[in-house]
Amino acid sequence: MTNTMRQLKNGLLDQNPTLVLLLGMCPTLATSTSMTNAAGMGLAATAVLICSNFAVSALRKLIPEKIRIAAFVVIIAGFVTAVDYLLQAFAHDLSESLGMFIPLIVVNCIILARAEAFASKNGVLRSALDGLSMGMGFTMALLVVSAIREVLSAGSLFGFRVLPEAFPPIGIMAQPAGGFIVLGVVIAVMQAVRNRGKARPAV
Amino acid sequence: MRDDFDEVRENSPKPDQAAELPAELPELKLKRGIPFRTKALQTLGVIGPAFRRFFKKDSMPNLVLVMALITSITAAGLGAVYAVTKDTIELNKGSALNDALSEVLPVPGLTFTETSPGIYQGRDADGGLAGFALEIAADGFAGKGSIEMIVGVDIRLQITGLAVLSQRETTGFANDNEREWFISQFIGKTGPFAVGEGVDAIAGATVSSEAVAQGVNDALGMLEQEASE
Amino acid sequence: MVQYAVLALGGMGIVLGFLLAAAAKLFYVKVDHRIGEIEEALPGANCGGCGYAGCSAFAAALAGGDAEPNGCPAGGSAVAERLSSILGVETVKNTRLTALVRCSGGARARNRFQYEGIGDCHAAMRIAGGYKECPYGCIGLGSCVKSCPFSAISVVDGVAVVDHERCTGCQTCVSSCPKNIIVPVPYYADVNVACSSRDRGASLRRICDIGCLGCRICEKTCIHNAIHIEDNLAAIDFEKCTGCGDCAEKCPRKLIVDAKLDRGSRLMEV
Repeated sequence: MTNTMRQLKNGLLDQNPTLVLLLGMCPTLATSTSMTNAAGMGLAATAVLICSNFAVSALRKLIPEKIRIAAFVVIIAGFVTAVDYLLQAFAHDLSESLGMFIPLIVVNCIILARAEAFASKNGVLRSALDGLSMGMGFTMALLVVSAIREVLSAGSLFGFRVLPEAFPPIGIMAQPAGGFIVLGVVIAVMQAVRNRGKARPAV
Repeated sequence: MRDDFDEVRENSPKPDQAAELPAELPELKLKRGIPFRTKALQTLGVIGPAFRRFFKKDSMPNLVLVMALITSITAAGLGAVYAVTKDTIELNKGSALNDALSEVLPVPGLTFTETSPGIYQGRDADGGLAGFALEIAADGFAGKGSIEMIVGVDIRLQITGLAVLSQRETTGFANDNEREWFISQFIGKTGPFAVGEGVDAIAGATVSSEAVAQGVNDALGMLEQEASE
Repeated sequence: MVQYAVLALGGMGIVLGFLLAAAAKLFYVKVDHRIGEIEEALPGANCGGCGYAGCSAFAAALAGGDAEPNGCPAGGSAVAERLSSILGVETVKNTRLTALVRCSGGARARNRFQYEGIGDCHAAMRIAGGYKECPYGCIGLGSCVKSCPFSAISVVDGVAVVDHERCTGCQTCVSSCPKNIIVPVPYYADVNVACSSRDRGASLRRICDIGCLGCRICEKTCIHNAIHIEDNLAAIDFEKCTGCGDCAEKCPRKLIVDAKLDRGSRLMEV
């Protein structure tokens, strides 16, 4: 497996930001009520991740240690605002339904964490790639959780009805409580898959 | 033997003859000093280390400089993005407005004219007044004026429709289905409206719901004020 | 339009830059730069074997001069050397310790009653002191197994057994045993008495197939005067023991463990 592929796999599986590193839980829970919202949030966050990782990595030698975090946040906020304008202009409905969670991408832990832990210590291309893989991992986690929640609470996927009308919608799945439950189950499944075959301490 | 140079030999001054010099010598301007390029490089060579010494890494001037640069460049970039998308956003808002006006006064064939800022009168083909549409900015969860909406009122002061143009509220309020049933509580009734008395709030969006109710009340108030003038 | 944005944000940037610079000066904390290096060199298991509350606490103590470079038992001599070189002092090797479960009973020790409950030694102890007939013996439900940060203990045939190669001597298991029968012994000790029973031989015979009867055969066999019977239990004095293994040979119960037979003399490694 080449280095590039390994890094892509990193964000998707080994260090999936939502399911393994447990970062960015708030937007996950809030936007995973429908798959369109989840896809929109995931793609917006990915775009910001790639751009901010690129910028932070390019400037890493110039930013003094003491103002590291302030500088990172300004850069990330800049990109998020740009993405916000672009969404308002070219994807108005998505912008409406995601509401205030687009500005909240600024404080999404994933972006600041990757800027701090990776982009500030690695080259530009590597950082951009890391941004891509982390963003894809985040999007994938969002899609999985939102698929379950949307099917159970509204019987649809991406707005298209997939369950028969007779199926009673499970209201709690659209509420935060249901979101936590689904997220917990998905994380547990992910851990089981990751740990299969590992020796357990002898009892 | 005569060669090409004979003419030159004949015409050039003999060694003991002084060459005839012109009376006035043109002043030869010698370029004084050092060429500009060198001077520029020299200055940089002096300023460079001084610059580095003043803006040493982790020193206060350096911190201030980097912060100022990053914020300014980000601002400039954002200004550019805004300039590019500004018109499209206005366009979206404009078409949204027209759609909303027709939505809240669902009578076919109406033309809307803005009689006062924010108040549109809807007249049908014969010129008869069908109703009003008012632009309201309610103070929602996200802040003052965060919910931009159009309220449709007919001549009997009953609410005919409500359309939200833009909002930045919680996802409960952003849900179209939720908003539909919430708004249906207003249709056909006249004010004043209050959450808890005849109007149920959207779950998880109480503040937003109260804001909308207040907004409708404000709209009716605006209309009454208009009428009394 | 853009100018205002640049001015506003740029101005904020300048102000914030000043603020941050001032804060950095005001709240400056002198950090010993060696602490980072030390922390990197430590195993990071936070086992507490050093006596401090985790690796960071030990690193701070070491940099402050309150701890010794060989104070990390889990790291062994490799870490001791590395720490000594970071501090710039000579390496002093530490005595490698390992843990020993002083019991060989398990399936060979009788039960008083059948226990069906929480699979934890502490819990079993609450029910009339445990289901084993022998009051000193290992319960075998694995509290020590769970507590070991290095997965060096396992329960084999109803009794806990320590893997001396994996054991780092952190002694977390010592405090996890409700019967207090896990003891630290020197790693290079070849011969060990794996029993804690103070019961007299006659009564012990009835409840355990392997426990120490206090018959004194080992005491008489040992030419180095290193093994004695105290309170019906054989005890080895490691200062005198040479690891010859005579006592292990002569023990009628085959209780004394001679590790040499398993993997060659460990006296060669220190």
